[in-house]
Amino acid sequence: MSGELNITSGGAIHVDSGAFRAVGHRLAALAEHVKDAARVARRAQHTLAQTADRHPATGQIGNCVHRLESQGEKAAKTAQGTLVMADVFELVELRTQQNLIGVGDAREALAIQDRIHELLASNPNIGPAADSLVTRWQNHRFDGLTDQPWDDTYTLARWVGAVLAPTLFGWAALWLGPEPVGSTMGTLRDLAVDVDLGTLPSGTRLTGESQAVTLRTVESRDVKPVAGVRDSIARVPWGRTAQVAVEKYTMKDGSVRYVAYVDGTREMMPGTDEPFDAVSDVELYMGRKKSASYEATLQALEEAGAEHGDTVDMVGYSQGAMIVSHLAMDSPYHVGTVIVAGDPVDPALAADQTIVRLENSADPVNALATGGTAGGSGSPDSFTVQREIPGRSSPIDPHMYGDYMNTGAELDRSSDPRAQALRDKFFHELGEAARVERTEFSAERA
Amino acid sequence: MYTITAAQAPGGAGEDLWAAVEAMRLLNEATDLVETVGVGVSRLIEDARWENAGVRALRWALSDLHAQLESERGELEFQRQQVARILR
Repeated sequence: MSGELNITSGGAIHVDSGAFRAVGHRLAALAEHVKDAARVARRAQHTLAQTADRHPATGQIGNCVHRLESQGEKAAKTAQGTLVMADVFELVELRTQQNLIGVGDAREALAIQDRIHELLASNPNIGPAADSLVTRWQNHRFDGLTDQPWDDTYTLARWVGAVLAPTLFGWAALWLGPEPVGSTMGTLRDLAVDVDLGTLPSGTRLTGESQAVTLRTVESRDVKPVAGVRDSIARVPWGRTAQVAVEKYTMKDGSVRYVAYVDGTREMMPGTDEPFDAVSDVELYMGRKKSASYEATLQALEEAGAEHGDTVDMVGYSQGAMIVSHLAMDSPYHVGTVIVAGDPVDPALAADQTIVRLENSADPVNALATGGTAGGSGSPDSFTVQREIPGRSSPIDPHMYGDYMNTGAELDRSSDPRAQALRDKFFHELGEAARVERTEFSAERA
Repeated sequence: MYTITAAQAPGGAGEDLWAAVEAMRLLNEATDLVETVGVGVSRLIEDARWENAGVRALRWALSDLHAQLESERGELEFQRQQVARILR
């Protein structure tokens, strides 16, 4: 499916269970109407059959009746299958929710369990089908990752080594550098699964002290409202001096909201002034600690005028995606919509938060998220977009910023109802702004 | 427009005319029903335009159903015209 989008509602869930069930019910109703049409046509056939010379149309109408009956039956079966699949999706979603809330909220977990029991009791096939769906997803979530070209293997190994250096895994990655990419990528995948840090359970908070950073404004100007997913990714200050950009949207009614754009790793070697470095990657991913880049993002928001409780939507690429994922779970702002590209973590978001994940399927950074949760998280409008980007000269190619912009452009053209809803709700709302002030910030470690 | 006079004609011919009129009415009703379902399926196809390999079979099934209904609507319409010839 090279270049072709595959949009899921997260993890193993092809489509949000509620939306899928609604289609099943509508199709079931339509199937009944097809059968109604067949019954009426049959009455016409019987009526004609009573004529003295049995009108020649009688036989043709009879054939039509048979075909309509058959279509009605087929549609009813498809509707039934759709409703069963909706139950299967719901079961996977509920089990994921249960895992994400863990033992933190026993009452909520028990309420979920009641519905799980109800679903399992309704059809003995639902449990095994849900298990099979999750197994299939687990077996395919890293597809393409190990089929990468060899050319720049050493570069990748250095990168992996730098990211994981403080751990034994880092040394292992460095040692595996000269090995074929398939082995290296396979090892990376296995390590990510073993350390199990890619999925952020509900209630995850970064720990540690805030790190000192110095922030300066690089540029401030009025811009047009952001107009789509590609445009969102393009507004991440990749390749520019700034690492963070914040846009202040003043709406026609005078209300204010913000959109933050956060870039990825700029420096692989430790010991520089760059807050968006591999050290921050390690702190955020391995330690779940506040990094200098995280602090820089918060300072940029404050500098742009965002106040506690304000709505701040966020777009992040790579390390920036990891930062906004954490901020969506725990920040002084109301983070409504999050768009992430090449995110090494998968956050557990609330039902009123929408997350759009762009995942190039062979992206090794994205693989650190281990496919996220089987059931996804966030609002029913949340979705994950996967696109196969084979490596050209290096396994890191699928993580490239430009490829994610292309994935965003594909999504903008998509007729998928989830992509349409994102356009109709999020981008349409922002498009109504009376004024958009964009400020780009550059940060250094103090 | 068909008159009651024709339908009340004595003998089998009148009954045949009545049957033809009734069959046409029923065929019209069936055609309208199929057309309405076709519109419903068309809307469903729009709302189920998920770009997902796992649910592609559902999209195909809906498209197939829509095409079949279009075909049957045309067939019912044609048969209604055939029956109408009795009344000419």
